Amino acid sequence: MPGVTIKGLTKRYGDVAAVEGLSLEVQPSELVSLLGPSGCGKTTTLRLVAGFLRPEAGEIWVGERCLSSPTGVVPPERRRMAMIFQSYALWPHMTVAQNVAYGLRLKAGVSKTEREARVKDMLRVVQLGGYESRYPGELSGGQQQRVAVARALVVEPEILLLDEPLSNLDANLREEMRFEIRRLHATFAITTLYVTHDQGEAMVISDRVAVLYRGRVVQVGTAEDLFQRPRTRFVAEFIGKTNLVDGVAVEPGVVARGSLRLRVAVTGLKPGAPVAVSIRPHEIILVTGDRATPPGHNVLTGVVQRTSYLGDAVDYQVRVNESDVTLRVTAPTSIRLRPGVGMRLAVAPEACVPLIEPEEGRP
Amino acid sequence: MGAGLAAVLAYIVNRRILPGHQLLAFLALAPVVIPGVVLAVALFVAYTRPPLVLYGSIWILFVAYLTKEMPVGYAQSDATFKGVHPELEEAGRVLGAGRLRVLGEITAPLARSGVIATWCFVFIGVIRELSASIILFTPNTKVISVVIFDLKEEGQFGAIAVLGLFMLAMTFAAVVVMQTLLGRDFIGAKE
Ligand SMILES: Nc1ncnc2c1ncn2[C@@H]1O[C@H](COP(=O)(O)OP(=O)(O)OP(=O)(O)O)[C@@H](O)[C@H]1O
Ligand SMILES: [Mg+2]
Repeated sequence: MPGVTIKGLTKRYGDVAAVEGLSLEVQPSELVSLLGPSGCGKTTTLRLVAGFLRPEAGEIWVGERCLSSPTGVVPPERRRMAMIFQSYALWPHMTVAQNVAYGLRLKAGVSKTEREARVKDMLRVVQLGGYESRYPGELSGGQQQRVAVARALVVEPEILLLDEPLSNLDANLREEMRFEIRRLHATFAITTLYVTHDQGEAMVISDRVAVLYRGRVVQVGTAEDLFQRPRTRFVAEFIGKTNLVDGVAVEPGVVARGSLRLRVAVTGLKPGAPVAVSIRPHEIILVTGDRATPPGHNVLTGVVQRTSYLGDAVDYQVRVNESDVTLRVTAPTSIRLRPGVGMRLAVAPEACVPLIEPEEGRP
Repeated sequence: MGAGLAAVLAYIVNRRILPGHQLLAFLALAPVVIPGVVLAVALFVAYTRPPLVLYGSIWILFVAYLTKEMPVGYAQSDATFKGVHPELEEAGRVLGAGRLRVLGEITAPLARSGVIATWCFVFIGVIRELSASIILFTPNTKVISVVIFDLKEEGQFGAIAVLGLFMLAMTFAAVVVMQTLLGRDFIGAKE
């Protein structure tokens, strides 16, 4: 299985760039999600990789083959890829078996008997044995989705492309299909690009996640990387909930906002530079009474403003004393504090992540 | 024939295959504003002199009908192809089928009933066409509608009734045949 390398890819529609200087490296047999808000260029990227669009700049390589560049695009039918569409795109005039067999019929050197055997096997893998002669219109959404998966995998593509394949399914089925796709990926080890705007889905399903923002990849990493070490404000806010404290670096490892001082996770800051610090709500420890704070932590004092009970945790809004900062804190239900109660907050420096990289269109 | 051309045009416009596809769409729809009589006179003037003399043959009627019914055919086919989601074609492409193969095995079967319906509309439109025919006919190429017009001038209402019934029967038959064909198509897909 070859990997995919995308270099400086740009695609414009009129004056707007749908994709602008996008670079991404997908390792052989890796499953990478393209995650981002609506309109950030995910579908456009996927269609560029599939060969439906010609880029204005940049290149797409699969293994040793350059498939797309501004001077030439290998057409989709000669890319040895398969794609699963948001609409599934099953052909309504063909049976399930005919749909799945289509790609094999076009492959040289696959005999009729082999083809039938492979279709049958693949339908069994996606748990649709016995549905061969049904028409797509006679299947449920989840079953149609599995036919689409079977149709794509049966040709043993080098690259698999998926565009929000689960967005038409209800929550339960979606969860089930996530694991299904994960399982199939483990079985066939096909290099896969998976487009989604659902961060939970991206984190469950992929080896690595590429976060897209305005046509660019702003950060690539494992789910853990992105969650614990976001590099930009956009990533910090897009992946999970967070508190952002805008301040100024006063020492290489300290950020200040008014009289508030936070020791942060890195020590390479330039004093005087504006820095936003991201603190996850569950990384903040509430310390009441005269109990000791954990050693080495940043310690703040504050007053509870609001609380919401979430069942498995309690969500607090805490006003930090002598500053204009309000922090969200997620705490276990074992301590319950009422609005107006004062307490101390302890945050490990490792949990205070400075967002270093500036964002386009933002200060 | 007219329906076929309309379908090809609509396909090209819809999938933006050629540069200038919007101009094509405009040209296909333009005849709708031209009255049949005006169109016929224009054709008469254009094709009664070299390089192309069509007047006197059935072909001038053919050209007139083609032009006149193009907007109807085009609008119908356009709707048909809009109904075939491009992703259905793209799914075929990624699996290894070239553009032509996808057209033959995926687009055409899905668009078939729509194209047949288009043909029905065009056929009915042509059969009852009078305004252009009356200017372009010759004794050898008298179409039914012109004959009926002549008979009325002569006051032969009996003959008109017969021809009228014949015309009615013909269009009716065409529609019924098409409907059964479509019906079988539909049942065939479901069983
Ligand atoms: N055919 C087109 N013509 C003009 N603009 C387009 C076209 N396709 C996409 N765009 C624009 O390009 C940008 C990126 O679109 P794209 O479909 O890639 O977004 P996306 O990330 O897939 O969004 P979503 O999550 O809503 O599907 C959008 O601003 C969109 O308006
Ligand atoms: Mg999209």
